[in-house]
Amino acid sequence: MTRITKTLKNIPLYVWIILFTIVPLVMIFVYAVFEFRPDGVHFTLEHLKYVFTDKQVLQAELRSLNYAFISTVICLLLGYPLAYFLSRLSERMRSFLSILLLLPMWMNFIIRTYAMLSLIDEEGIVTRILGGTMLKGTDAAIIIGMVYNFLPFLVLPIYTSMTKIDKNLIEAAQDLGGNTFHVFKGVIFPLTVPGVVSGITMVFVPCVTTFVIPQLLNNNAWTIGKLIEFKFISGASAEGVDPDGGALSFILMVLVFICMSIFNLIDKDDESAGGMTL
Amino acid sequence: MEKTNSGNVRHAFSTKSRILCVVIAAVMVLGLLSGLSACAPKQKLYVFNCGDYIDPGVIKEFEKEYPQYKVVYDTYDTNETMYQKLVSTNTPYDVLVPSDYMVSRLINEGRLNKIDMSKITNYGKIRSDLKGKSYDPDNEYSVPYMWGTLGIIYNRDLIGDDVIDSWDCLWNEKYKGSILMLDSIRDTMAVSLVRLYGLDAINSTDPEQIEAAGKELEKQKAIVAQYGVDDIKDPMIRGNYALCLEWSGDAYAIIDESDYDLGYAIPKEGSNVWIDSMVIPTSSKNTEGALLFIDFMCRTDIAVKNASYIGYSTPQDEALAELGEGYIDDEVYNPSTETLANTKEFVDLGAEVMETYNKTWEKFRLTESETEDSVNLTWLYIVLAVAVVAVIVFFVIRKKKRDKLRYDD
Repeated sequence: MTRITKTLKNIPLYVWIILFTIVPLVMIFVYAVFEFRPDGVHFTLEHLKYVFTDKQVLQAELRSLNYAFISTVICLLLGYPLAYFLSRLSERMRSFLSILLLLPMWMNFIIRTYAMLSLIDEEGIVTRILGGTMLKGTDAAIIIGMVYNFLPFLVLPIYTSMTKIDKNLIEAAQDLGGNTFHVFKGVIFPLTVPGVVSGITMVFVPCVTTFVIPQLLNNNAWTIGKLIEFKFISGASAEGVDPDGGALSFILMVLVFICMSIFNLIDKDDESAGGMTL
Repeated sequence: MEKTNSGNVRHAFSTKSRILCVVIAAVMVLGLLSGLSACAPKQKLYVFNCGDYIDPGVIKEFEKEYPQYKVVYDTYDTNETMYQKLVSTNTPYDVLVPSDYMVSRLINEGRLNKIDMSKITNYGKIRSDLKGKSYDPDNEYSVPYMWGTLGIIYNRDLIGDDVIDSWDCLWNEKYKGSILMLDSIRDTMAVSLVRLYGLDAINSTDPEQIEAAGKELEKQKAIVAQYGVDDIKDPMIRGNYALCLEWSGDAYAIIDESDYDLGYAIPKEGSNVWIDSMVIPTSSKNTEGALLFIDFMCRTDIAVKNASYIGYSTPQDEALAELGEGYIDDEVYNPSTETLANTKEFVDLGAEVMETYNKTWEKFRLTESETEDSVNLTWLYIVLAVAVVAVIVFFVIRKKKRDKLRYDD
């Protein structure tokens, strides 16, 4: 009985997942391997082959993963200490600073990127400080744009998991003679790993797929996000969408999924390990 | 006590809101009835135009002058979006304003009605060198609305006395890092095609030519500072760059706004002339209204209003004369007949050829240019690689230690 009501309660969730996750995923896959032509539906692996064998597409994929990887690491290096110090402040200071952290997110993403552009373009203040070296149009511009835009997404989950840590655990560790470093290594860090992992996911995935940031800050060589955008806008005809676009999206999702699984593997490893230490 | 109070309040509120609902409903019904009686003879006229491509006052003026029509105005951002909407919805559009190549595509696909030009009383006012173009050689389907050319904006303050008269200038190493290019597939490819094979190649369908043009653009990449559409305007206005590929309508505004000595040139090899025209699609159910609307848009005073609002060139000499000096004698806004003779319009190339264009374009846009001033990231990669290895080693060692501990237990 309770089981049935439980299932019933979950129906909206299932409907949501099916409608907005499963169906779109299946559609992307179908578009990637089937061609819808006037003379019928054809199965083809042409488009998947294109994604895997076209040298330039591979380069673009690598380029996007590179940008995303570097940005994520920089976000982590900046975000983790930030979340740590934030969580150690007094309640009032904490809520004030976390609002400050969130404040830029109330503005539209594209407007924020335009604002970044105006800092690093020909007349931008950053360009002047650097003595005329313009960042616009360089790899650094993309990375700065990504870090700036996505940093809060990484800080927040870490910060949340840090504030959730039971103070007694830290005190117990201190009582047992742990110094600050030991407490951090043995208690705080293991307990924040889930936050770190979800933070990494929140930064890495949008970094791989974004096309607004590269388009505005460095539009010289396309990233994979720009390529997919092009495939869907210019490749679309009255007959339907460009199957290459479907194949690219599909492969990109698989790639991201693989990367995420690796992160998650580390996460699981560490959780059991963390439990053991305690 | 409090409970009853709040209950009372709630009750009172709901009665009030009920009355309010009845009143609103009554007003709405009355409004609907009166609207029906007033609108009954009004026919709807569906106009589908590019965004921000008409003086909004003009529509009101049309409705005032022809009270039997109610204009339903809708906008799109590109020809392709318009096409998609036209073929996939049932809206009975009466007037569209597509570009030349899209007109030819719509004609080829049998999606346009012929226009009875005798009903367009103002048709004679339109420049004759903008009529009879290859996409509509017998002037049966389209009435020009706005037009312009494709050319190079140059910055005298940066290029000195150099003469900009050829597309080759955009490939000149001398201007390395000081060139802005349009990020627009047909236009940018046209520049490369015309430079290599002459003006007739502007609508090239030869895969070899198309690919060669793409290769040239790849080569050019090393000296181009930026590709863009709207985002290359500001840098040009601020005088930071020497050369910029632009459409004449935008060039006119850029030159006007800039404090620098900017000019606009149509290279001697020839260039593209683009014409946005009004057409009547087969979906139209109100041909009479559509004809009236098109004729109205061609009226001189209306054309002047639209031209000064949009800032693009009007196809009418009379309207041009009325716009006055800064326009009529401006070679950017109003190129001479000789210049115009050396231009050619785009036609629809069909899905198969466009596939070749798309592939070539994609290849070119994915190519990385080896620009010297790009920030070198090699050291960063090395640091990151070391960091990753360290993390992995750390985890592996720790796990081994733990496993050992477990066995020891």
